Order: sequence, then C-alpha cells, then structure tokens
Amino acid sequence: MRPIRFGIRARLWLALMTVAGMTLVASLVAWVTNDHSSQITTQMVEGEVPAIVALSRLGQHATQLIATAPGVLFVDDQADLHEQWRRTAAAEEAMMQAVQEVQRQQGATSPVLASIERTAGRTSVQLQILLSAMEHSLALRARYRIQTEQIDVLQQEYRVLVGLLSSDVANDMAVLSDANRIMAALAEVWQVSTPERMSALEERVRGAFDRLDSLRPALIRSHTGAVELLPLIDRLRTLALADGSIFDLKRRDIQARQVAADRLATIQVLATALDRDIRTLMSASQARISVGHADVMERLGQSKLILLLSSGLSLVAAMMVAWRYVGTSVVGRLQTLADSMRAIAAGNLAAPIPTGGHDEVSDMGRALVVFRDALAHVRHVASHDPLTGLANRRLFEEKLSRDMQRAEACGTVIAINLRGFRDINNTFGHQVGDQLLLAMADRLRWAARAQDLAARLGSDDFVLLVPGLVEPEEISAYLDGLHKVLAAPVPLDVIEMEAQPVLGIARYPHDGLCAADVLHNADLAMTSSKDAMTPAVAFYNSSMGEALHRRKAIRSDLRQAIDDGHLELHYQPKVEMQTGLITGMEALVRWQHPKRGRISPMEFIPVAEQSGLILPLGTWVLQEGCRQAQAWSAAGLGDLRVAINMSPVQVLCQDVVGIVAQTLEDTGLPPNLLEIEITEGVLMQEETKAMQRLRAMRDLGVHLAIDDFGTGYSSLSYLKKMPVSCLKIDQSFVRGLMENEEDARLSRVIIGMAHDFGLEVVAEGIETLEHADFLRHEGCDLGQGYYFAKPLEHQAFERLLASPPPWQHQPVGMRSSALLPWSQTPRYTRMGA
Amino acid sequence: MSVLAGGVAGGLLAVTPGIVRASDGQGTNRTGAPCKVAVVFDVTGKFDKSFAESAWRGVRKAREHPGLVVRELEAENPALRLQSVRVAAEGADMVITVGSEFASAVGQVAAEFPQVRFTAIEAVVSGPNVQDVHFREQEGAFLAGAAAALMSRTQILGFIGGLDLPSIERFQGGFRAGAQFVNPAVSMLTVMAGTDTETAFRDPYAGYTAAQGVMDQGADVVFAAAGATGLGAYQAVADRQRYSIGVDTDQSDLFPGSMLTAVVKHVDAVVEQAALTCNTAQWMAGRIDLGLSDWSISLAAGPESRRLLPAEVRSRLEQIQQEIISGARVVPAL
Repeated sequence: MRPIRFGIRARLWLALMTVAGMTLVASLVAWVTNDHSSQITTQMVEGEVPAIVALSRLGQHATQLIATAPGVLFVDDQADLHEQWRRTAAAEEAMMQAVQEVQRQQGATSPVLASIERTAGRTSVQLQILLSAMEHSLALRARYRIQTEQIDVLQQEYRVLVGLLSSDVANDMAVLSDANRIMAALAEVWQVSTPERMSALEERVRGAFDRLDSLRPALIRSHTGAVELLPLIDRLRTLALADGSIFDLKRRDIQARQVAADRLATIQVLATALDRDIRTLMSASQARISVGHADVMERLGQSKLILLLSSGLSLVAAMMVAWRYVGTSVVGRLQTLADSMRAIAAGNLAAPIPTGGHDEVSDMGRALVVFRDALAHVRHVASHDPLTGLANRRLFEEKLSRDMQRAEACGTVIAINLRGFRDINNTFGHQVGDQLLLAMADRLRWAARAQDLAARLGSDDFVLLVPGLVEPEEISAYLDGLHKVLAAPVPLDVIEMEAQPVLGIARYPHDGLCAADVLHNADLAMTSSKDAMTPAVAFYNSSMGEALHRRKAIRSDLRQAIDDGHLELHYQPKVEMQTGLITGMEALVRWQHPKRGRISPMEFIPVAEQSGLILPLGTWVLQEGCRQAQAWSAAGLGDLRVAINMSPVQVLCQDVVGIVAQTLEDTGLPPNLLEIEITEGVLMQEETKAMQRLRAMRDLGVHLAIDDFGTGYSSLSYLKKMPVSCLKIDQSFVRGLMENEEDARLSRVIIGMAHDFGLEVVAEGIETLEHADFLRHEGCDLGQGYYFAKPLEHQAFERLLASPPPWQHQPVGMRSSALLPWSQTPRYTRMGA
Repeated sequence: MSVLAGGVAGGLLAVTPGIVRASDGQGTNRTGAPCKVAVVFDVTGKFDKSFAESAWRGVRKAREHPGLVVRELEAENPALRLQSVRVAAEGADMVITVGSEFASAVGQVAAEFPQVRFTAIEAVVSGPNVQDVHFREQEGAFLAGAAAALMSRTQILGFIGGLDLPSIERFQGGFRAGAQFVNPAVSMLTVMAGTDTETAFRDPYAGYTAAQGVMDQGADVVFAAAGATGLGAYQAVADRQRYSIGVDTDQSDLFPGSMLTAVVKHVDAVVEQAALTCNTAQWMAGRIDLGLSDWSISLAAGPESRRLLPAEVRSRLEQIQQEIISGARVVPAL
C-alpha cells in the first residue's frame, strides 16, 4: 500500500477546507448574532409596541372620559343627560379595560398605573356627581318654570284687580307699591346668580309681604278696593316664600350648579394629573424603548465586533493556513523549482534544487536533479575526452577563446604529439596504447596549474594551455621541464614505454588573433618538428603558416582552375633508345595561375590528393591526354602512346575503369595508345581492390607502368602481381649514373630484372648524352629526360614531331663504337607501321 | 415517523381532558366545552364605585379563567329587568344577577330555564335551580359604627341610606348598634336619600345634599350605604373636611384624608366563585348567607385607613371583629 502522503493535492484541499471552514465559522457567527439581534428586536417590538398601543388607548379613553364633562353644563335636556351618563359609563369601562391592558403589558402594576386608576376613579366620581347635580338642576328648573307660569297667572289677575284701586286712597297706594315691588322682585329671581343676592331679594320680598300684612287690618276696616287684592297676595306669598317656592327652587338650582362647577374644576385638576401620569407612563415606555434600543444597538455593536473579529480571525487563520500549506509549502517551492529549472535550462548547472519534503514538488525536484546530472554528464562528455578525462578540443578552444578575449591576455599553447604512438599501438595493441595515453594524460594534468588547461585533441594529440607564460626564457625553462616529464619512460605491466613526445609551441596574441589560429599554429609547429625528426621542440614561425595558407589557396583555386581551363598538359617525349624515335609522351599537368603565376605540381598535386580534387584533376588529365593523342594520330603525326600519371587515390576512390573506358570511347583513342603510370604504393592499402582494377584496365587493352620504381617500400612480389607492362626507373638513379656505382649497378639490375619479367623499361631523368649512352648500352628500352626534351606545350611538341629531333643530329656515342648498334640514318617512323 | 407523531398526539389528546377534569373540576361542562356564564347588572350600571363595580371586578377575574366564557348584560331601566334576565338565560349555563331588584325576574326566568343555574346576589328568590346569596351587612356595619363613634368628636353620626331595602336596613341597624356599643351617648341621624329603586342608588347629588343636611345638624362622621348616591355624600363630607365611611368597596382612595374606612362587601369574590362553579357539584340551590367570618364582609384596612385611624382605634376594632367572628358577639340583623 502506498504510504499516505501529504502532497500538493492534500494541501490544497486543506487550505480550501480551512477557507471554507473559516467562512462557515464566520457565517455561523454572523447568523447567530443576527439571530440574537433580531430576537432582541422582536422582543422589543413585541413587548413594547402593544404596551405603547395600550398606553395610547388609555390616553384616548382618558381624554374621552374627561371630554364629556364641560359639555354637561350646557345640557338642558334630560334625555341628553341620560345619554351623557351612558357615555360616561362606557368611557369609564373602556378606560378601566385600557388600564388593565397596560397592566397586562407591563406585567405588573406600577405606582403610576395605580395612580391612573385612582385618578380615573375619582374622575368618574366627580363626573357622576356632576351629572347628578345637573340632573337635579334640570329638574329644579322644570319645577321653577311651572311656578313661574303660576305667578304669571296671578300677575294677570293682579293687573285686573289693580284697576279697582283708587289712586287717592293712601293705603291703597301703599298696597300697590308693595305689590308692585313684589312683582318686580319675583321677576328678577331668575336673573339672580348668587345666594347673597338671592337673600337680599328674598328679604325685600318678605319685607314687602310683611308690610302688606301690617296693612291688612287697616284695609279691612277701610273697605277699599285693595281688599280685593288680599287673597291674591296670600296666594302670591305661598308661591314665593313657601317650600318649593321659586326662591327655594332657584336657591337650590344655584347650589346644584355650584356643586357642578366645583366638580368640573376638580375634574380639570384630575385631568391634569391624569395627563401627567399618562405622560409619565409614555415617557417610561419611551425610556424603556430607548434603553431597549440602546441595548439592541449595543448588542448589535457587540455582534458586529464579534463578527468582525471572527471574520478577521477566520481570514487570518485561513490565510495563514493557505500561506503555510500552499503559499510557502507549494507555491514557494514550485517557484524555487521553476527558478532552478530556468537556471539549469539557461546553462547554470550549479543552481540549487529544492528536494526537501515528501510531495510532488520534492518528486519533481528529485527528477530535476536526475536531469541536471544527466545534462552535466552530457556537458562533461561533450567537453572532455572519454578515455583520459582531459578536456576535449571544443572545451579547449572555448577556454582559449575566453582567455584571449580578456584584456592584456597572453600565454602559450603547447601542442604535444607522441612520435612513436602508431607503432606502439600496432605492435602492442590498443590496450597498451590506451594505457600510454592515460599515463601521458596524468602527467599533463600534474603539469597543469589551476589556470592552465590540458586537453586531448585526437588519438595521440594533446595540447596544453599555459596562460601568462610569454617570456622566452620562461618558456624554454618550462618546456624543458615539461619535455622531461613527458619523455620519461612509462612503466606498463612488464615493459617500459617511451612516448617520444614532440612539442609545438605557439604564443598568443603573438601567433594568432583567434583561438583556432593559435591552436592551429601550435599544431603546425608540432608537425614541422615531427616531420623534421629533430629537435623535439619547435616554435611556430610564420612560414609554417604561410605554407599552410598557400596550400589552402591552392586547394581553393584548383577547382576553379580545372573549370576555367588554367590547367594545361605539357608533353615530354619518350624516345626509343635504340632508334631515337619518339614513340610516345608523358602528359604532365601545368598550372598557370593568373595571379600567382606558375604553380608547380609538387605543390598542388599533394594538395589535390589530400583534398580529393585529384579525382576531377586526374579525370581531366586523362581526357585531355587521350584527346590530344588521338588528335595527333588523326593528324598523321604518328601513333604515339600517351602516358598519364594516376595517383592511388584515383585508382581506389572512383570507378577508374569506367572512367578510362569512357574516355577511350569518347576520344576514340585506341586503348593500346594509352599508358597509365602508377606507383607501387597503390597496392599498399587495399591490395585486392587495386589489383582488381588494374587487371580490369589491362583487360581494356590499356598499358600499365610502374612509376618511380626503386624508391619507397618496393616489394618485388608486386612485380609479379601487378599486371604491368612497363617499369620506369626513377630519375634519382639515372641522375647519379656517372658518379655513383650503386646507381649504375641498380639501374643495370632493374633493367635486367624488368626484361626477365618481360617488361619494358623506361629511364626517367636522362639529362646527358652519357646517361643516354649508358642506358642504351644496358638495354633500356625507352628514355625520358631533359636531354631529349623538357615537357613541352602541345604546339611545341607538334613542332618537335614535325622536324627531326635535335638529339638525332648529334653523333650518337661515336666515342664508343661498341655502343653504336644502329644506323645513323635520320628517319622516323610511325609506330605500328 | 408520521405514524409515531400521530400516536403521540393521539395519546396526548386522550390524556388531556382527564388531566383537566382531574385538576380542579372547574370550568368545563360534561362535553368538555367551556362553561357559559351570563352576568346581569342593574340600572345603576357597573361603575358605582361600590356594589355593582365590585361585581364587575369579579366578572373580570372570572374571565381570566380558561374554562369560562362570561357575558355581561345590563338592564337600563326597571322595565327591562325581566327581559335582560331572560336573554341572559338563553345560551348560558349559569346566570348571575347583581342586585336585589332582580328577585321577581329571576323567579320567573328560572322556572322557564330549569337547566340553567341562577345565582341571584342579594335578591330574595328561591327555586330548584336558584341560589340566592345574601350578606350579613350588619356585622361589617357594626364595626363601622364602632369606628365612627370612636372617631366622632360631636358624637353625632350620620347615616345616608339609598332606599328602605333589607340590606340597607341591616347596614343601618348594625351601624347604630356598633356606635352605641362603643359609646351609648352617640346619636345617629338617618336620611334615606332616594325614593324609588330606579334612582335611589344612582343619585350622587341627592347624597350630596343629604350629607350636607346631616352635617348641618352636627354630624361629623357620615356612613353612606347608598351605592352611587353615596359618592355625592362622601364628596360633601370631603368638601367640609369631615369623616366618612364607605361601603361595598374600599373607596378611601377616592376620598383621601376624609374616608376613614369602608364596609367592604366582597361581591367580586362571590361572583368569581359562583362563575367557577358554573357546572360543578359545588353549586347548590338555596339561600347562602355570607358575613365577617367567611371574609365576605370586612372592614377596609388600607393605607389611608391606617393613616387616619389611630392605632388604639384599630386594635379595638380588631378585638370587636374577633369577637364577632368567633361568635362571641352576635350582631342581630335588625
């Protein structure tokens, strides 16, 4: 089972869950506090609003209760009064219920509420008394009206009776005046409003009645008309002064009204108290609401605070978790990893790679380590030699370039080659050779300082960069030391090897402006030292460079020369020694460079061979030679055999047989008029292939000749292998014929051997008559050399063909008649005739 | 889940009535519906601050009981008394009448509605389904008379009655007896303020003038047993800064500084209790007399009384009360 890992996914989930959880927590807190607040608000509203409503209703009913009062004073109808009474009762009941409601809302009786109840009760009492007083007043007034009507009737009677009185009776007059006074007073009664005035009026009336009483005996005695009034006055007196009289009624009415007014005044005082109490309740309620409101606000504030805190904390917690588990842990490390990747991709393999942890990021880090190591390895492999571990060419050139680019940079490059390496390798095998190379590499590493660099450029080519080393004395001393170290024998298993190091030195910036040049020049120096056998150390000089430069130029121009026709063939006649006749010619290529002038084949043929240009060159030479020979044959200048030189490269590296065949076909030259001159070296490499092709050419009918015979690693067995028909004695032997016995002996031997093999012999480099005579005497078949002619342009050669050759005018070996087996008749014959 | 809930609900329903029935047996009729009570007030209305208002308070208290539905009616004039009672009896389980004038009406209607229970307060009436409740006012009035005699300086007391009804006579007799018990030299002036049942207990001004009358003759403590009429008497007494004694409810709040005490008739408790026995076995037809011993009558002893009555007066009154309650002293109904 895979161990449970706290990887990226888990961390992201953790962070996510934390954020979600914290959000949830904050939401919960918000919910709870919101809930709480709404609860409080609801409580407040539900608690107080009904209370307020009840209170307002209470106030309303209180007002209603009191509002009836003033109007009562002006009611003049019993029915209306009853209505008021009923309304009052209803208002009181409503008020009582309102009080009860408020009590219920408040949950308990407060002193204020009790006070209100009390005040309402008192108001009700006052109202009831008021109403009752008014009721009595109205009843009294009704009775009063009745009394007044009766008095009116009496007044009517009085007026009638007054007519009976005689104006001159003194008693009558007194009666009249009192009676009038009474009448007037009675009429005033209704207007009276205070008990004092009422008493005064009553006194007056009573006084009048008393006077009338005192007059009564006199009136009865006198038998005047006033006597008639007396019963009326008695009746009046009853109405006026008895119980239930108008005075009484009026007095009682005033009293009742006074009581009513008092009650109204009391009611107004009570109303004020009631109003005050209700206001108190209202403000208490308001205060409670304010308190409740303040409480709610405070709680809301608190809850806001809590919410803020919890949100903040949640946020902080979530952020911390995210930061810790995602930010630094994942993103941070990913970024570091990305930076490392970028650095490594950019080439900086030393960039640190985060591999800590147990998750995908660390996995990636470890994978990156693997890649980086592989990259480093590739780099190393790309810049170091696999066998020895030294730097390779590329690295060396890079370092050299860098060094040279620094200002004031100078130093020495030492190219090292092991002279005997190839032999050691061939003789003792590759393992030994490798061990030798390893030993050399170790020694070079040892010799190199920190700022130096040792490299292996090729099989046995090493190079050492020594920056800062420029003084010739210093260099010499250094080289001596180095050579000693390298030349010391290398112990390998049972034998000791000597590497025979050869050193080539080039300095920079003295010997080159770029790394490649400096290195190349060191190499040149080493090569020249190597070629020259001694000494083992050579300094580069410019001529090395020049030679290389020249060769490069030649290579580049040669191609052009082939195409542009700057090449031409010169022909050196081959002369039949016995007859002196020209039987053929060797075609030699000549190059006339438009700028450099004549470039000798010694220079450009090796270049051509190394560059492969020998193929097109050789092909051109073959074609041109055949064409020319055929042309001359067609022109009737004789069947001359043209000899073309071929390098081993041509034989081995192209379809030489095909080319020869094609050329013969194209030019129409008979095959036997074509001779191919090749050196023995052609068989040294791929013998089988060479033999096959040579045989094929011979089968075409083409003649083959061995050129420069006697030089090089000649093997006599080749003589029997090579399908040649001719042997050419090298001119080195010919030239020294007269002076050196060995040359003469060798020439004689070669000629004899060739003839034994049935081969024709051609001697090259015949320069003097003596040479010619000797060779002729020895039986050499053909001769070639400056004695006869130097290589000639085709026109010159044509002229030579046309006119008798000059050598034939010379006396041919008159001095030694033993050497004159032929006739002197100058003639020439066509070959084959 | 729903089955479970249904089962639980069913079980609760089955048990609940039993619980209610078992608890106090009040309020519900046999079928479990609330009991309907109708209360009939007389022409004096409900806010006479004494008898009728006390009954009204009892109605309010009865309403608070969950098993009762209480209806109020009012006979606005004497002629409507019979009709009011009859209307009340229709659709009610119990009728309570407030006032002695309902006697004939109750007698008639009770016979018409034998299934309905009638509780007549202060009305002399009988029947198989009639219960009439009377008070021994004289016991309370005895205490009031003693208090008045103890507090009077002129030794002249005033009694204002509403009408010559038995209950008022009991008040009067008790008052005189109590006063003379304390001080045999005391004299009592009596005035009946009203003349007919319609207005006798509803005429505050008459009470006012009647009180003025006895005060003119020297009375300095006035006891009014006249319902709303007494309110005018108390006001007149208060206007002249003399002492008064209230009736039926503690009215000393209404006349602070003037009203010494009151003979409280706990009509509210009676009404409430009657309503609660709407259809229980506790209700019995027949006459019930309530007095001091069962706390149906009491002498008010509120803060005003305590303020106005000196401690020795109060303790004397306590003593007398104990005697009456224990039966050592019997106050005749004369």
